[in-house]
Amino acid sequence: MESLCLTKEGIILNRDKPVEKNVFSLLSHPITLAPGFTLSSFFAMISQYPELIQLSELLETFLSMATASNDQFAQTGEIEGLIFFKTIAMKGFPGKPSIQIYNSLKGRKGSQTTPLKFFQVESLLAHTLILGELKHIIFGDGQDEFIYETVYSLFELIEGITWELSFNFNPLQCSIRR
Amino acid sequence: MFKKILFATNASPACDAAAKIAFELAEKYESELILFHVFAEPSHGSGAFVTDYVTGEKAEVGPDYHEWVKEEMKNTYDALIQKHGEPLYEAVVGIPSTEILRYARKNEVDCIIMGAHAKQDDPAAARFRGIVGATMQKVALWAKCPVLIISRPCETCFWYFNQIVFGTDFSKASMSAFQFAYKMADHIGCKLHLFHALNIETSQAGVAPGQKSIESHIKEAKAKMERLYVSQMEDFDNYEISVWEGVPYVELLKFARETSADLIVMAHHTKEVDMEEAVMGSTMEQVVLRSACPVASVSKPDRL
Repeated sequence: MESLCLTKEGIILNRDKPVEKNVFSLLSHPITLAPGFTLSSFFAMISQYPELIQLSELLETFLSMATASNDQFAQTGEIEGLIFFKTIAMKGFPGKPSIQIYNSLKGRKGSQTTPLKFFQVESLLAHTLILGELKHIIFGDGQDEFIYETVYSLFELIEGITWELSFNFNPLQCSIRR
Repeated sequence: MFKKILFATNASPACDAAAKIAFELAEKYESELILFHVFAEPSHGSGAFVTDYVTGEKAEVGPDYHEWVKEEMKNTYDALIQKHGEPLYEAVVGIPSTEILRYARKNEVDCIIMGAHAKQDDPAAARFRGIVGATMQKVALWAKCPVLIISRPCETCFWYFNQIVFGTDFSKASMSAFQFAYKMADHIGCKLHLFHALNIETSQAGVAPGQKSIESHIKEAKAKMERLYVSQMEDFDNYEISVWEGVPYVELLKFARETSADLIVMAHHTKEVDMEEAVMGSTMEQVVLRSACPVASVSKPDRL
């Protein structure tokens, strides 16, 4: 399957040509992010292909926030960038064996990742976004962790980012009592 | 406002945000604070052994064990105790939801404070598990007093509270929630936002409503708010009515963000169902999960 390239301007390139219509048929395609791709680029892509808004009831809200921000909001210095990665968590003991596969969007600082739910979406927009490796965690008597190369589909990126940002309804300012 | 506040904790880091708010609220309202910890599950039959919820190990419980658990609670919340004062400690054996409700009922607790989950979860992983904890769900459903659910440190709480948002769907259960929200706002002298989200998707099945129809629904909803709620507020004038259209939980979260709300008050469930069958409403659940401020769930009008 052809890999799509998402440019920092929010254009989806398929075989080096900009996609102009029928973006839904490309949702299962693997993606690469062009250098300099930011969270703003992600929203530029949603804006460029508005049918993608239908993928989540929250996407339109976050697109509005990103658009309204208009690059006027200070970028947080608490992280160096953003990373999107997949986790496979297997639990063998105690309890019933289970497996969970999910995608996360986190902040990066050095080799550490940090949760984003305490940041305002606007302060994350200018940060560069990269695709990370797959983390495989096995819980049991102990805990083992393995790292693998992997790919992400366009759908995973959109759906994963939207889910994570859905925790970022943080107010922009404090209020003063009457 | 609250004579007795019960803070139900499993003493794990997942309850830290709730602990801070519990101690601060108790100080502000000069309430008696009860630190309530159900630490072990009783064994079947009449055995003297219990299973400790934290270690998972069997233990024989006597007075010494209870004292040891209380000492652990003191150590866990030492910094907050130093700052805000000594609470009352209760360490009991049993099923957490049952024991919390039993204690609250017996001791006429005015407010229960709990974390949304028993464990700290990665948001990405949380979607595959129960969104909010089972204990919290049961307590919120059956409690006779409001249950304040804290899922993260409050970022807007200046001094409990400045902006209260009451979210309504006009159900009977919402009336109890309103009474609590109004009583709080009136007592504190803070702003009360009466908020309703017009769910366009369900208002006219299969038909996309036009702008005129939406405006008419908004007008109706505002009139209903005046009739149901404003009429009960006597001379309280620090309120605002807002009706937005969209997906209810998304609109409520957006509204809370815009108004820098530091408390959201909602009914536990909104449909007119038997209490035995009531489950936490999906809007409530989504709001609890994502809200940046505490969410008060009101299920019954008994202790408002």
